[in-house]
Amino acid sequence: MSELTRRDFLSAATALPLTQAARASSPSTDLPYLSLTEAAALIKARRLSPVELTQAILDRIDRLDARVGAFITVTRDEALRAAREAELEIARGRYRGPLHGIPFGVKDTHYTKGIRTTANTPVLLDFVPDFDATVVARLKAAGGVLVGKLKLPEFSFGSAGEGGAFPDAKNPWDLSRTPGGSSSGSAAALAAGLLTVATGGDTSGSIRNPATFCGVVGMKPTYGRVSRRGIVVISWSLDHVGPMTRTVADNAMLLNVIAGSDPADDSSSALPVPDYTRALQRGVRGLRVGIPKPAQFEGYHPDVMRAFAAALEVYRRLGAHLSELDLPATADLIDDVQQIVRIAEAASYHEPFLATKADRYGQTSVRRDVEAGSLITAVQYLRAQKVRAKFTDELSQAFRGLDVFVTPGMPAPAGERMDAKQPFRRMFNACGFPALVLPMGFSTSPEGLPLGLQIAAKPFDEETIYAAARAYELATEWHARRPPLAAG
Amino acid sequence: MPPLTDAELKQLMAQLAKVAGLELSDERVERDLVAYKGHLAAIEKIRAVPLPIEAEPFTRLRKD
Repeated sequence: MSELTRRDFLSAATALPLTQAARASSPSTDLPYLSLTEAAALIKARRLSPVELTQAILDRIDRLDARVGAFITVTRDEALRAAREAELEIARGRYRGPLHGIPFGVKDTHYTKGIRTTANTPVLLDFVPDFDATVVARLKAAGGVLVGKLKLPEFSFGSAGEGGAFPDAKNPWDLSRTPGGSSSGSAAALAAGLLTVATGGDTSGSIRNPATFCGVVGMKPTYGRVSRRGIVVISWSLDHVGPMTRTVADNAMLLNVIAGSDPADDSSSALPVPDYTRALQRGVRGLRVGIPKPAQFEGYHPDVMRAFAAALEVYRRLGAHLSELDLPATADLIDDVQQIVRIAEAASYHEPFLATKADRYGQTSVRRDVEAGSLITAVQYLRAQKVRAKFTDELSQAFRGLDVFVTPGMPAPAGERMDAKQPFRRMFNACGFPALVLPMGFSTSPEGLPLGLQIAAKPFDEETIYAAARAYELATEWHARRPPLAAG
Repeated sequence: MPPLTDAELKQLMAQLAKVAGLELSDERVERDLVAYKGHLAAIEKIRAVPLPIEAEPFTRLRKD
């Protein structure tokens, strides 16, 4: 076939009807903020060229990323090449599905064949993998266009921080504040309109924390639902990979692509993957929603509590049944358990680096933490694992009478004092149950910072989470707001 | 057991590091002390949880 022109690609659209979600025309300035759902419908109908969309994203990165700092590496040439290939394939009638021709980014812990993968540490500054992480391979196989590798604190340690190989990202809602972390670049890029979709990693809340702070949607799926093959490790038994997007529907579509068994990851589950988008229209009438008891909100910011109360009212109005949940007693020390399991496993992963490259660590606490973690004994580690197993069993029993359990995404807005007794975050890494956050409103003091709502469920029941999240999203307008930077 | 002093902890860290095959200079031990104390505090809390002798350290998640 001779070389395809933009006009050739788009000309086919005149004969095709627009889908409900697609717009009749989209000013190019809006392209970076198209949802995956909208962009996929336009591309499928050949009313939007993957090259045009990718170029619009790259132009916006050029214009704004010096301020946001979401990217470690922008894969401009590879992205445009992949976009042209997608365009050609679609023109030939080989449409692969909703990810075809869609720009995506991945946290810079995801191995990318031939493209450096730094985990934002001087230790891995020159590391160029010779294979793609399974997640990256699946996104590419679905026709996605890799636009770049996204920021994180050094080795994904901590929720934010400087001192790695590159400066950390900034929060597009207030550039003087943290975007949260450790999937900081993924959340910041989505909020700033620098990507259509992204992935992140979550060991201690690292998808849900930045998704909350940046006003986007982040899902930590059930442990084993998404392959960890080719992801720089913090802790094998606590690490999760998940989708990050601007809408709930986009998130479900992205999980459809990356979820599933992986022969190269023994911890991945063989359970079949449902079509998560089918749950989106279920609604919440009759849904059994668990909420924490009031005493567990000690230390929470008043704006968070106000927004959370309003969110619960939305669920009541939509016909859900709310009831307070008695968390197991072990929930009070699950963060301690998570700390010991995480740091002991991290110390084992870092053993070769400590032996040969110890002087190359950045100016962060990572070397200190993993060196000290190396001194934890096997018996101490296994005792933490036993308490973790006990907690998981007890939480499973507590969840029996519920469909979902909802909490605030974070106890306070970005950059505000956090001294909550129970943050409801690491517990879902420890037990491996799925948990998603989505926008829940904005703070008033300080003004205009995003707040998040977390929805957790039983293992492998991401569908019910998506049903509950979509119902809330449809009833509110928080997800439609853009940061002041968006007009830039 | 009374808590260990910082000097005792640093000595312990150096010995544990040695048997773990980790070269920790005095300067590194000094820097790592705060993190090790944090880990020990967490371990102490975990130790207080009563567990039956049959308790197992690993579970497999199942769909209901």
